[in-house]
Amino acid sequence: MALIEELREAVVDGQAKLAVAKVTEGLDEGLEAGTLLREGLISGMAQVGKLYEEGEIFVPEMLVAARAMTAALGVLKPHLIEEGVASSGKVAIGTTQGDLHDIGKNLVAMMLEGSGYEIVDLGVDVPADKFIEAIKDGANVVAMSALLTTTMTNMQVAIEAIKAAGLRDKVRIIVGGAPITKSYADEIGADGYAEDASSAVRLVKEVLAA
Amino acid sequence: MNSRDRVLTALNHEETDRVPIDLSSRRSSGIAALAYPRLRAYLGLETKPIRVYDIIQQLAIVDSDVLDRFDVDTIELGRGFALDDADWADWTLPDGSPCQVPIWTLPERVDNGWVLRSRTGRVIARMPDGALYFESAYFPWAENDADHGALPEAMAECMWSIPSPPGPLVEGPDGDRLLVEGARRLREGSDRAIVGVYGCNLLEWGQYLYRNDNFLALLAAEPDHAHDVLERLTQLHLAGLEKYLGLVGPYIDIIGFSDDLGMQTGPMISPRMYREFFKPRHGRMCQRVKELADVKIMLHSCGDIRLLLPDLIAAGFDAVNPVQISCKGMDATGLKRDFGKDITFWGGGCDTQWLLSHGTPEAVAEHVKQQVEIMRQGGGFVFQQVHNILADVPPENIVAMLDTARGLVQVS
Repeated sequence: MALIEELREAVVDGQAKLAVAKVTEGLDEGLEAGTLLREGLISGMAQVGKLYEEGEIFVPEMLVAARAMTAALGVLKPHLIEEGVASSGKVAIGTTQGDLHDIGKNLVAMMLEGSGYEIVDLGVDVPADKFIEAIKDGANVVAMSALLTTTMTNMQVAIEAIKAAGLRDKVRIIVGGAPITKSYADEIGADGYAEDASSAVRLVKEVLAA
Repeated sequence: MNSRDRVLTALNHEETDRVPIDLSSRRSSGIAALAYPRLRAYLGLETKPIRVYDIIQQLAIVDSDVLDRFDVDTIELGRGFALDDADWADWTLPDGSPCQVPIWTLPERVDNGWVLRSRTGRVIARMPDGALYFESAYFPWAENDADHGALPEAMAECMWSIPSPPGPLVEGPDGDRLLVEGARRLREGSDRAIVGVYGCNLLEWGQYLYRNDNFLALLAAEPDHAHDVLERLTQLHLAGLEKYLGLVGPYIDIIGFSDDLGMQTGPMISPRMYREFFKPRHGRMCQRVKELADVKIMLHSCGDIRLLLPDLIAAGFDAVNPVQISCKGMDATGLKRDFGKDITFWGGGCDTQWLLSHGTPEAVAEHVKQQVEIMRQGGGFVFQQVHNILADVPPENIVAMLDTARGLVQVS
């Protein structure tokens, strides 16, 4: 349908005002919020992720697309709740203790939200017990970010703390950030590692399906 | 050939008697204050007070006995200043050991950490307990309407405006004279190539002012605003270059620009975006530098900048730094093959993201040997490890790295 296609394009092109206008128009025309979310926003963000991975767009374009999606999602949210549209999962995301870097983490959060996950953003400098609290509050996935080789070790501290709290089997843990590698993720007992925000979305789908 | 000749010969793409070595001429080729005393002890050198000249990254001044031990060929212009004990204040490093910092960068204890304030008293940087560096705490234009007309005032509220020496020591009515005197003294007292770390940051200043993500989004969503602030920054930089090179141009060999354009996986911005917003401005600044002084221009840009290299070369840069070799696009063989004749690679000598901290000395030596063999061909290479030697690097790895780099001799 033309309107949904226009919504999708508005997201891909990072046109926040247009994306908001299109969801508003769509709702006024009686379209379901769930349909606008899936076929407009999630589909748009999937294309954004693909374009980024293929090197067609870069961080600025991805950011404005994600912001357009977030703006449109803000309009949809009350309607999604009314319709009982369930999220695909709850992800608690944060930058590890001692580390204040958040742009990568924010981009991952936006991409995941744009793919239909409920996000609990724990912020930066997040100690292990905050991740534990988020799991107790229902998070299915814990996503940890670190930018520094000197703070990435706190990821392992958090994972050990989650184990000690008897919660390790209740949650999937994924990690990312510039110094992180797949082998480091395996070494510390994480369930997965993603190189960038776009592949983080695929990873969350995989780990929740496993 | 002396150190200066060696560096300049390499920058002119000629092979040298041995690979020129940089340790600490830039705030990306230095050593963490936490690692430095261990290195001194390992080398059997006397204990000396640790002076942290870069409070943000907590880098130590490398004393001349260490520079001599490793045959270092470079020195930062700032080392000609803050020579008076009165310029330094006592502080404590995150591990509790004593150090000194420039008196104008003395941190303040607040809650569970340390802060740095701007001259207006605002907290602009913080280091929570458990962290090893300061981070920006304030971005003037992140939430508020950006007043581009108040650009200098806004820049003064950003963490990266906090200067390393000489900083305020060359402000005021006598400032110019003191700057020239310090530069001349350093030049007369040292055979090393002198690097004037200047800046001329464009993308980075946009990011310091708006916050990284907001400025990147601005480039895509509001190009006119981005052009406006970038043009104002360029005008400021051009005026600054006139003054700076007018004073110290005769005494430095290299001027350091800085603008992180890359990330681990590629450039932050597309080549198209670089060409639209930054290349013409970098070009104008490089051209002005060449008109003002006989110096080489080195751009510091972390990350994978391979896609931007053709345009950086065209903009007029003589060297790029620090050559982040762990990135896919920054493999040494490919860089030398495709760009080696056109730009000097100042860096890429040893991986610092993993190997220098976690490898064995033997593995470090083997890696450095390989890197140097590739990079030194045809000149156009100055050795430095990819970034600052971090707090956890064992001293034996530093020695293995630098001694291996020194040990490779070229036939000229």
